Amino acid sequence: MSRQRDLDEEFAEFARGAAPRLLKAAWLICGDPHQAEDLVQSVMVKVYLKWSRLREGSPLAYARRCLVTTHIDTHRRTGRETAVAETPELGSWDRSWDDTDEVVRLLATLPLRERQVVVMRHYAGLPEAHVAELLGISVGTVKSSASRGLTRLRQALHPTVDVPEDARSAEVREGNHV
Amino acid sequence: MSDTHELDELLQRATAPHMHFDPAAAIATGRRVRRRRRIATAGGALAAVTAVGIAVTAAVPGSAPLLPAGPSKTSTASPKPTGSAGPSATQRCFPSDAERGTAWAGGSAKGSQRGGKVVVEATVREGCGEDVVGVGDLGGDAQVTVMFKAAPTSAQWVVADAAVLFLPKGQRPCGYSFGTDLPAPTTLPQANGWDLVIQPVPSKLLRKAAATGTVDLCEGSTPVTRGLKQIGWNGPGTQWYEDHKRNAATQGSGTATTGCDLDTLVGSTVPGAVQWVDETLTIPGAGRLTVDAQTHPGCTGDGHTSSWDPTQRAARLEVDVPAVPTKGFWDTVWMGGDAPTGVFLVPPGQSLCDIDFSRSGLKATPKLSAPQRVSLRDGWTLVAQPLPRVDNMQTLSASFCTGKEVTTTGVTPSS
Repeated sequence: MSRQRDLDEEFAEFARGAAPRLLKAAWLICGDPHQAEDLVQSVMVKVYLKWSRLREGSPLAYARRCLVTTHIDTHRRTGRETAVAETPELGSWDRSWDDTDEVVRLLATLPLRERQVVVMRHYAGLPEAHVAELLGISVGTVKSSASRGLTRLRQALHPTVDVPEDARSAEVREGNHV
Repeated sequence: MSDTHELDELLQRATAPHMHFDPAAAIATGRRVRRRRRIATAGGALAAVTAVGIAVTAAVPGSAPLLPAGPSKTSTASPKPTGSAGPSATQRCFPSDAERGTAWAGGSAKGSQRGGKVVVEATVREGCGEDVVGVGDLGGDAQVTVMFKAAPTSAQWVVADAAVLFLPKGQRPCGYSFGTDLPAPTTLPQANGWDLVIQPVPSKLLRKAAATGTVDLCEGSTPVTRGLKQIGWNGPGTQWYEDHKRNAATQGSGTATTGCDLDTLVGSTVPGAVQWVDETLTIPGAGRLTVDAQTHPGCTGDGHTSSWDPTQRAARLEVDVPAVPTKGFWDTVWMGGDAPTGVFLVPPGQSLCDIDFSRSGLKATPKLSAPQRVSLRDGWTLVAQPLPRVDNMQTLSASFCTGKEVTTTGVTPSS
C-alpha cells in the first residue's frame, strides 16, 4: 500500500510540474481553455495508468503524444473546435500579446495538422523528427506543414504578403477542419 | 515572418488564460479506469461495484483500489433489498486511511501475473457491511487487499491476480475447478493459527478461475469441503443474484435501478454481469483492437468507451448494455494514424450492407478496404471496418440487412 502511495505522490509531483506547459500547449492547439483542461486531465489519467513504467523513461514525451492523439480523437468524435469567423487583423510583431484570444484566433486559422505541428515545433520546441513520430507522419510532412503554417501566419500578421499557391490549395483541401 | 524565432517568441509570450489541473482527480479517475480493466481481466464476476462505491474508494487518498466483494460466504447480513443496487457506501464500508482495521493475515510469494510477487494484506474491519477485495499494482508486484467484515470462522478464498486462500490450520487445497496442472503454491503460516496459501494461476486460466472457480479442501487426504466458492461470489444461486434477477424481471429494463445506469456507471459491473463479446483482432496498419462487451441484467442505458494506447498500438472498445441488443449497432475506435475503425455488431442472420457517407462532406463515396469479421457464439457477427477520415463520425450511418432486405437503416455510431 505504501509503495502505491509513493508512486501516486511521485506522479502527482510530475503532473504538477508538467501541467502548466501541457495546459498551454493544449490551449494553443484546441483554442479553448475549458477544452484544454479536459484534454490535459484525460492525458494525465493515461500517464497515471502507465506511471510505473513511464517514471523511469520519458513521461513528458508520452504525455505530449497523448495530448496530440487525444485531441485528434476528441476532434473526430465531436467535431469540437473553436470557430473562427475571420482571420484576426494583427498589426505587427510589436503588438502586445496580452490579448490571449488573439493568439488562439491566429492559430485557429490553421488546419488542425498544421496547428499541431506549429505548436509542437514552435511552442514545445520539439525537433522535426520528434514531431513526425509524435503525429505519426513523415518528417517531410512536418516540414511542409510547418512551412504552410508559417506562411499562413505570416499572411495573417502581414496581410500584404502573398500566400503561395500550395498553401492556398491546401487550405481548400483541409479548410473544413476548423 | 522571415525568422521562425519570431513565432517561437509569439507562442512563448502568449499569456494563457487561467486553467486548472487537479492531480488528485487524475489519480482518482486513473484508479477507476484501472479497476475496470482489472474487472474485465478477471472476468467481471469477481465483485460487484456500485457507482457510489467507486466514488468513495477513488476518493480515499493513498488507498489501493478496492472492490466491494458482495456477501461473504460467512455473512449473516440480510439480502440486499430488491430494487436497489445494494447497500450504501457506508454499509459497504470503505474505510478511510485512518481506519486501517485490525491486521488479520498477510504475506507474499512469487507468482503474480505482473511478474513479481503477490503481496496479501488481510484485515478485519468491524462494522463493515460486507467483505471487500482489492487488487493494486505495486510496479510489478500485485497487492491483494482483503477486508473482512469479521474474522473468518471457515475457509475463505478468492482469485485476485493469484488464488489467495485463508485456511484453518490443517486444511489444504486439494483440487481446483479451473485446472489441475498448476504451479506449486506457497503456504504461509499465520500468527492467528490459520494458513495463508498463495496459488499462482497461469494467465490463460485466470479469467475462468476468477469468474467461476471453486476449490476443494482436504484435511490430510480427507475432503472436508467441496466446491467452495470465492469471497464475493454473486452468481447464480446466491441470494443477491436471485434478488437482482427477480428485480430485473419484475421491473423491466425501463426502470432505472439506483446506481445502475450504464450511461453513468463507467467502470463498474453488477451482479450477474455476463461477458458477451471478448474478441481481439489485428487491424492491418493500425494495431490490435479488443472488443469487450458485457451485459448487465436489470441495468438501464448503455455505456461505450474506447481507448487507444499508442505505445502498444492497441485499442480497446468497452460496451456495457443491459442485455444483448435486438438490433445492430456500431462504434468508432480511433487507432492512431488518420482514420478510425468502425466496430459493428451485427445480429444473427443479418449483415452490414451499407455505410452512408452522403452527409460526411466527402466529395465521393470512398472505397473501403476489406473488413474483418468474427462470428460470435450466439450468432452475432463482429465486423471491424477501417473507415476514411471525416470530420464528424456522427454524420455516418449504417444499414443492416437480412438477405437483400434492409432491416435497420440510419444507424449512427453509439459513441
